[in-house]
Amino acid sequence: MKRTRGFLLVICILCSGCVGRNEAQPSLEELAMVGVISFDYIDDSSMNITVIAPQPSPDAKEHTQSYTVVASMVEEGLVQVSAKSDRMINLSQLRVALFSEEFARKGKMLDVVEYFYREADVRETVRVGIVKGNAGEVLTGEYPDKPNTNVYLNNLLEPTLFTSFSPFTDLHIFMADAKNPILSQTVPYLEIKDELPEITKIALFNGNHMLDTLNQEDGKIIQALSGIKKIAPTVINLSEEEEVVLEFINSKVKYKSNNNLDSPKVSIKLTLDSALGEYRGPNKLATDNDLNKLQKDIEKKMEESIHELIDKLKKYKVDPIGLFEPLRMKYHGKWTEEMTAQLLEKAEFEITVDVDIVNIGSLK
Amino acid sequence: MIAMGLLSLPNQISAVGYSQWWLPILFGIIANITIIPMIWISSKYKDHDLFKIHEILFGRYVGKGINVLLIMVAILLMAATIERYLEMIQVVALPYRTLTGPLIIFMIVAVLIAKGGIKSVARFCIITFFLTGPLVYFLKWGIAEGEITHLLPLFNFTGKEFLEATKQGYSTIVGYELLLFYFPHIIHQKKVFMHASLGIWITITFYTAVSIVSVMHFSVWQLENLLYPVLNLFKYVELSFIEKVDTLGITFWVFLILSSVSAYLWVLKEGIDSLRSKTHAIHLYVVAVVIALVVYIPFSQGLEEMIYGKVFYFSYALILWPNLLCLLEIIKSRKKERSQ
Repeated sequence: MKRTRGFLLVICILCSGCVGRNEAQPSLEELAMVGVISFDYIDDSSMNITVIAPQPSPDAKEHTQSYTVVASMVEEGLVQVSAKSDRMINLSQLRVALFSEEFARKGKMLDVVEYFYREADVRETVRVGIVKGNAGEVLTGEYPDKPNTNVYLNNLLEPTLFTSFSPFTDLHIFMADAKNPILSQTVPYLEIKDELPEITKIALFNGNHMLDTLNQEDGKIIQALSGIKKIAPTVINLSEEEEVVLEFINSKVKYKSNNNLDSPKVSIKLTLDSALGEYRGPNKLATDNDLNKLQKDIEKKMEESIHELIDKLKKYKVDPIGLFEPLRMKYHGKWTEEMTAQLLEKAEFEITVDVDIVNIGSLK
Repeated sequence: MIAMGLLSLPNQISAVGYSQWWLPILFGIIANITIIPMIWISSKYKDHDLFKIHEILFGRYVGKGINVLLIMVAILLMAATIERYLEMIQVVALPYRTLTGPLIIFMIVAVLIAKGGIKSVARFCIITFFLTGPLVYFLKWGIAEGEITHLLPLFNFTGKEFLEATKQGYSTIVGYELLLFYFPHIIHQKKVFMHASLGIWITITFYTAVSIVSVMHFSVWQLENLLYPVLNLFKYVELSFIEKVDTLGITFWVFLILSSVSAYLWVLKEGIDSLRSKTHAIHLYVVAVVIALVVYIPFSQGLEEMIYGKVFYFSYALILWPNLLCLLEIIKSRKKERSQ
């Protein structure tokens, strides 16, 4: 008797899934899982929203569904998309959010990122990116040799060693840095080249507004100074006829400050264990002396480029690295954005780069 | 002890900014000190719980009056916990759904646990510990994207901020005062202090871990503005075989909520038993229905905030209450000695 009752109960529970259509919780096939979303600037009160979602049905010719709507708010746009679409829009599979350069420069990006950050459905690891020109075109573009635009764009913004000059900012990092008085955020910057999107630069932000872009070399330095362990291989031009490619095995950065807010002095020590990838030039690299000389040259060159980068940042009055974290660590009281700006203006930097070539390959 | 509190802990003690990470340790010390009078008074009355002690110390009617107040506060406290949890479930796991169904199912489970007496509650707590403890592993992702330098400076706050953080944050570790109620059911009463301290410090270890990771992972603005920082830490986890760990984590959290609610339910049942001076299973059901009703009645947002916010202060009072009881007890025994 007891067993029959238990059996009936189980049947009841299992069959409850078969009860008619439920508007609130549609089945998986009725959801359009948005993978990538993009925002383009129209004017101050409206924007172009483009979303793409994978099309699971094998009968469809295209594997990606895309929709574009004009809206003033994100949620409003999503409702419009749902009205256009045969399926219900769902953001829980969102991986990438792209913004046009104009959108970011007008200072509208933070609102949208904040909306996503607030939404419990959206993961925090959604990566953001800036697109030169029209961001929607990246989504609607045809990539015949790629399996699926959703997957392709996600993979493109996934960190790999060779693209690690770019910061790979996600929603959490964007919000954290934008609201952190000691830092400003950087975002990968994409350009469409030969009909394919490509991360070419990094976009520099000041709180809400995008300021300018920095090139890949600067991006690598920023990454190294922010304490990233693995940095992309770098080409270093020592002189006209001398050029070297370094692959980095490990990078370590150490900050020290004199703890003086009036005449701040920050010393940065960057230690790079590297492998010599390629070399072109007069140095024979036969003896230890030759290698030492090369190391010295590289160190000098890198110190120079770090100084150049810091001068550039001084011009923009932003600090994407967090150069003053050692001062904040010992400062009692509330740290403000103005303090960072003032410090950046006054600060003196003492930079030491220590390049150690540990490996030159298996050929003598 | 761990229920809704831990989810919002880093937010509640955010008034002190990055220095918050050692605050749970301080809470642990306070908790450890405050259990001393609890154990002392309980060991004076080995076979009676707090309800009975009240009646003995204050006389029948005053004691019962205090007990009624206690029961009401506990009901509100539970209603607050359940409602907050259900609200979060709605946000995270079941959007576009009403919560009546989950509420009823939740209450049924809690009643079933409490029905087996304190023993079954304790067993459930043990299961909970082993099921939810491993969730700590998910903090790894938070550490990976965090700055260890955020942990400094240590004392970067004013006295006012510190008081604010303590006032808000201590509510997350209340719950150990239930010791006063289940003390008569403990077999090794001599070892209670050690076991209770152990329990407190296990909890504090979890709390400190969460706080440290939150401080490393978030910026000050996020700590102040995120309602459930732990939820955001869950959302940052990337596993190749599970898409949304936050849903998993929050639904596992139901074990923690259930273990607190069922313990309180049991206490409430005992309370009503002692009020009516007879044991009856129906008391438990009545209490459960009352709690469910309080959760179900749509109070206005402002009123709700006020009641639920204030009700935690009563539990602070309850934690300090044994001190007064000890004093009374000492006076009483002195009197007795003199009269003899």
